[in-house]
Amino acid sequence: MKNRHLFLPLFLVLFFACRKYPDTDKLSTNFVVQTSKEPGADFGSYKTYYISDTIAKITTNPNDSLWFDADAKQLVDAVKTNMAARGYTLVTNSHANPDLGLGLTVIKDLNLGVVYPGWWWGYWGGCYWGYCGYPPYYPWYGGGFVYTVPTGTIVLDMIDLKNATSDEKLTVPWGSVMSGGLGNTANDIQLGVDAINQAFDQSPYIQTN
Amino acid sequence: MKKIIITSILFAFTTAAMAQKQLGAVTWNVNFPTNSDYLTKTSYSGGRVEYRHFLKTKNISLGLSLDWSTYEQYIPRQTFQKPDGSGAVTGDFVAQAYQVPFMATAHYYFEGGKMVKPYVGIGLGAQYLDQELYYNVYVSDEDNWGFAARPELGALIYPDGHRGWGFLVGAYYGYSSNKTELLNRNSFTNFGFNIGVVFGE
Repeated sequence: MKNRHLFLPLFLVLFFACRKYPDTDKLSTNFVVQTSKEPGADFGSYKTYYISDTIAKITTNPNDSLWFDADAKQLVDAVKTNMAARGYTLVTNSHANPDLGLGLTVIKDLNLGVVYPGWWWGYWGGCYWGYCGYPPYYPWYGGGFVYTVPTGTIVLDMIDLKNATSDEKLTVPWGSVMSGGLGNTANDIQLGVDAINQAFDQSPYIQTN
Repeated sequence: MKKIIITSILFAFTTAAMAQKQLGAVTWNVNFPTNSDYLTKTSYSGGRVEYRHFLKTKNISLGLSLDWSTYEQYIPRQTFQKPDGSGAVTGDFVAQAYQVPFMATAHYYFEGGKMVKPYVGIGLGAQYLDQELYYNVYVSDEDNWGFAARPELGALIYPDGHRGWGFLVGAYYGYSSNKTELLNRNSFTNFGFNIGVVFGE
C-alpha cells in the first residue's frame, strides 16, 4: 500500500521530465507576416490613398497613443514605397477624398492575447478619415478566426473609403498582422520594414490598373 | 534524478518479476510520424515503460504501458498561401509535438524456442498530445486528449536462456483521435520501433 504513494510523483516526473526542450536557435528574428484579403476585392478600382505619418501605438499607458519619430517614419515610408510601386497615388490629407485609407498600428508592452480583427480600431478615436460612426468591417472575418497579438506586433489595415458612404461601413479589403519583436533588438525597425515589404510581396494582387 | 527513477523502476520490476510470471520493460522508442506533411521528421526522443502479467495459459499477458515521445522540426522561412486565395502567412517555425499514450495492453506469445519469444499485441487507451508552433519569440500551443490504439509485434530475447532478464525488440503502429484545429486534423498517427531491456518472464 505504501508503494502506491510513489506512483503519482513517479508518474508526474515521467510525464513532464521526459519532454525535450525545443531547439529554437535556428529561429530567425524576422517577423511572421500574415495577410488576408476580401475574396471579391477589386484592387484596380482604387487609385488614390492616404496614410498618416503618425502610427497608432497601443501600450499600457493611455497617454502614449501616437508614435511619430524617425523610426515610425521609416515604417510609414515602407508602406508609401510599396503603394507607389503598385501604382497608387498618395493624397496629402485625409479630406482630399482618397479611395483608400491605410492605418498602421503598433502594439507595445502589452500582450493582447487572442483578439478579433479590428479590435485595435478602438484606439483611433471616433472618426476614421472623416467618416464618423461607420463601423469597421472585415469581410474575411467569419467569426471563428482570431489573431494572437503579442507585444511588438505591427498591424496594417487597408480601408475602402471610396465606397464607405454607400456601404455605410468601413470595409477592410486587405490587412496584415505582422508578429515580431519590435522594440526587442537593435535592428528591429529594419525588421519591421522587411515585414511590411513581405506583406506586399505575398499580396501581388494589390495593383491599380 | 532520472537515474534514481530508472533504477527504482528496474528494482520494482525485478522484485515483482521474481514473485510471479510477469515482466517489466524499459525501451527506447524511435517514431516516424505518418499523420501529415506538416511534421515528417523521425523522433529519436522517445521511450516506454511497461508491465505485463502472464495469465495461467502463459501464452497471453495483460499489462499497462506508458510512452512518451517528442517530435521536432524546423520549418524554414516560406510563404504559405491559403488554398482559397484569401490570404497568406510567411515565416519560419519550429514545430514540436509531445505525445504521451497510456495504454492497457494484451499480448499473445508464440513458441519460438528457448531464447526467443515472439509476440503480437494490442494496446488501447488514452493519449495526451501537445502541439506547439514556435515563431520569432512567440509560441502557439494546442493540447488535448484522445482515444489511442496501438497494434504491435515483437520478440523477447533471452540470451542466456534463463528467463530472468533479456531484451525486447518491437514494432508498432499508433493511432489516436487527438484533434489539431490549427491544422484541421482529426487524428495523429505514427509508426515506431522500440528496443530495450526486460526483467522477468
